[in-house]
Amino acid sequence: MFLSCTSNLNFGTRAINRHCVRFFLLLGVSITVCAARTAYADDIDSFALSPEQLFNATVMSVSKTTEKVMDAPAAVYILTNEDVMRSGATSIPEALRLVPGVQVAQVNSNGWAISVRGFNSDLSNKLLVLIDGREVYDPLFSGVYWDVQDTVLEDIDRIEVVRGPGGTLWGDNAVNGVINIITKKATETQGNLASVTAGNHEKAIGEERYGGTFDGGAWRAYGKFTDRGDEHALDGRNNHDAWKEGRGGFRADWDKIGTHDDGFMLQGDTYNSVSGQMRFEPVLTNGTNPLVNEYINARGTNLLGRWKRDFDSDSNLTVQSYVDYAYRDQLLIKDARTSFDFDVQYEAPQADAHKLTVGAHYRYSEDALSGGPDTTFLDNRARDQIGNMFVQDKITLEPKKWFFTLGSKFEENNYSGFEVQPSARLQWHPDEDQMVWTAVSRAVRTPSRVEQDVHLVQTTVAAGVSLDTEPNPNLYSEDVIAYEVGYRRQLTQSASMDIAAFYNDYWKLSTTTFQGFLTPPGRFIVAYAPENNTTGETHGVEGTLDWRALSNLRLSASGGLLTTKLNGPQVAANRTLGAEAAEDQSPTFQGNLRAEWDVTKDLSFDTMLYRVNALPAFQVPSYTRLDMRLGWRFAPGWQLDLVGQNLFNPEHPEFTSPTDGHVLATDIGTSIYGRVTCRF
Amino acid sequence: MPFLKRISILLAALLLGAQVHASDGLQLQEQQIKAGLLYNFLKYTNFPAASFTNANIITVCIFGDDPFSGNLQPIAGRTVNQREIALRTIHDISAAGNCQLLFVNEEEKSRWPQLRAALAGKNVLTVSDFENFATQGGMIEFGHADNHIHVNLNIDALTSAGLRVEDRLLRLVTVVHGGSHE
Repeated sequence: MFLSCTSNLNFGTRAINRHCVRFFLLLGVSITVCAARTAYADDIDSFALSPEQLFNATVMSVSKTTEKVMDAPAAVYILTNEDVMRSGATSIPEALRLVPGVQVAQVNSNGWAISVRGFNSDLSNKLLVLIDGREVYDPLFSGVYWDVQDTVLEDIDRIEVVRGPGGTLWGDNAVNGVINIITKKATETQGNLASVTAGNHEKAIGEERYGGTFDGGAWRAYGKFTDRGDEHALDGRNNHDAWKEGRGGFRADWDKIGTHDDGFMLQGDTYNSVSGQMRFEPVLTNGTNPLVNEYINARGTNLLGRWKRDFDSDSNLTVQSYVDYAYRDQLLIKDARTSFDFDVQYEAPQADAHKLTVGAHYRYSEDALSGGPDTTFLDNRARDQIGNMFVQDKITLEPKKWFFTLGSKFEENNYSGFEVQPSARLQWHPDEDQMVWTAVSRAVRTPSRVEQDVHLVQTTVAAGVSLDTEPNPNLYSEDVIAYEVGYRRQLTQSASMDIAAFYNDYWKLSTTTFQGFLTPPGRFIVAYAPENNTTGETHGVEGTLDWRALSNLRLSASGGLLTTKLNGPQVAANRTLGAEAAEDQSPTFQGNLRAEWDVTKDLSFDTMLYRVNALPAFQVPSYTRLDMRLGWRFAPGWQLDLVGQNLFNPEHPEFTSPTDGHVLATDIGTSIYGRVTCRF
Repeated sequence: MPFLKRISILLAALLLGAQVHASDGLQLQEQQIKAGLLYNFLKYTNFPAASFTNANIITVCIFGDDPFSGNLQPIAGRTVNQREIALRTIHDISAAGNCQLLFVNEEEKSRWPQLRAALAGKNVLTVSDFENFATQGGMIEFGHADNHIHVNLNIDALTSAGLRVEDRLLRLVTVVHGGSHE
């Protein structure tokens, strides 16, 4: 814990005193709380327990889902809680770096560009992200604000990443992939957990979670705050991208309600985030685009309930509903959005060769927008509705060997009307340890509110002369047909592999296209608007090799190759607006090597090596990144983590913002932090 | 920062709550509990001295693949009753006689009658978690009830193998009867 503060001094940051004072204050609080208690489950050496203790111990519910998912005929990768904790990541986006086929690039202190199978952007719109079943993408631009997606990382059970279209089973937007973040049940997060983190980039992160029981169930509540400091831009000047966030939330699980032993879960979160970035702000009166310091305030609250009844071991009915309020105040746009979501899913029992799953989903979303100096809307308020149904049948062609899954989603939305998203998947298990699968699916990305309703001054070249993007209310959905094939194999008891290849055929891709010149009084506008005029393809291979070399050493390698070829109109003035730009915004190769070593029972040492190819669209050179983590359980219930990220590597950019093309990127440098955790 | 203040208040409230609610009751993974129990059975079972080929080593065998997901591995190298524990995974029935404790993987259930016959007259403590193991001549059967692990112990099978489990453990399990060769 002293090391982290020392390193902070060494790395020469501002406000050292204030920061260290806060750190030690928190540490003091943790010590006071922890001192009286003994170790909690995670730390326990089961051989040291008495027979009485063992017979009295409650069995943690072992998730069958993970097994089930690994049998799915799709490109699935699961980040377990252990993976997340050992990666040294302090945020969800950072943890995703480990997943093959997922592009993760940090834009600045508070922003990430994340995509699956290409088309990366800080406003990536072909990806669906769910947290415990709640869609967290913002329909305004069909993307995810990663700065407000967070929780106590220890409470994450797993992150399931499905590459390829997930439109049939999951919600909207799952064109290229689904990231499903699932937190632990409250019964699995009992007791107290407190942690403090401090380092040169992570100024201070403090979190506290407590879980208890009540008659018929269990609950937990958490509070977390994050304080990340200003970084500097590529040219060395302050990027004013400091980020402070506070959040709190709870989850309660009722286990056996009524005569049917129903399960019920209720959870909620609330957050408030303040961050910044540097933006070139067009000033029409004098034709300049000065750099301004932009502040972003985001806050939100959500509440979700899920009720589940099991009929048999293989049949159940789930009803889920949530309300979500999100507010975001930025220079370009202020957006207050309230969403209501209702979802029903029924899994029928196996009937002869058929296993049927049906579902229905309704979503109502209402927003109130107000513009900045450069933004106007066709409608300041919108009430959007989406309704859909899906049906899926898993047909057993030969028991334990051959399965054919056929499904489709039928959706009605007020942007693009009626959409059908079918998928067909064939899987073959030559033996218990192997599986081959292939799939063909169609998915659509419905137009976003920004594309259909927003007018934006992009940049100005002289007084009154500007390059603008105009709305296009007649935009259609983007369309993809994806062809996939995969192979999974348990090589030995301790080694496994997973490989998947895909070919995605896109058409009607939305591209910012030159429209002509507009001459309203006193203005000269070079007008652009989104149009469905680009076709293209992506193809690639992703693979993972996992080997538990020794009982205390796990080695893994994973990576992905990606080729993007698009055909659309060229934009001479601004390459970041053109269709072909997307070709060069995702790396053609990225991969990682990982070693997780339990040196002793109480000491672990992990190394992660990442390689990411260049992004020619932004002149971002390729880079190699080395992260290391040393974890030490120095007393029962106590753990110290020392993490170094981007070690032995000069500072480098990972991305610039293509959508605005106007936000300064941060130089990503070495980050060193220490974390003290106590559980009791 | 008003929201930081709010969070501090929340933290304080949580900490206070923590003082009131004591977290009692241990929660462990199923394999962790079973691994711990194996160790205890090793500790509280009296093996005839003649059953050891090497007096300093006590051998735990897993028949079939290791189902403990790494939770049993750390038992290797520990000492119990002044003997060092060796852990082996075996697939051949002929190798089973050299073990003191034999855990039979559920997947090897179909080979159990054969295995049982091969172990007749040997001082091997047999353990498994497949249903009715104890009534089919097995000695210790792990079961699941009410979110806890419980044990059925076939006292007849145990006695005829020349083994004795100490009372300290015996009173925590359900004792069942059934000939070792039924």
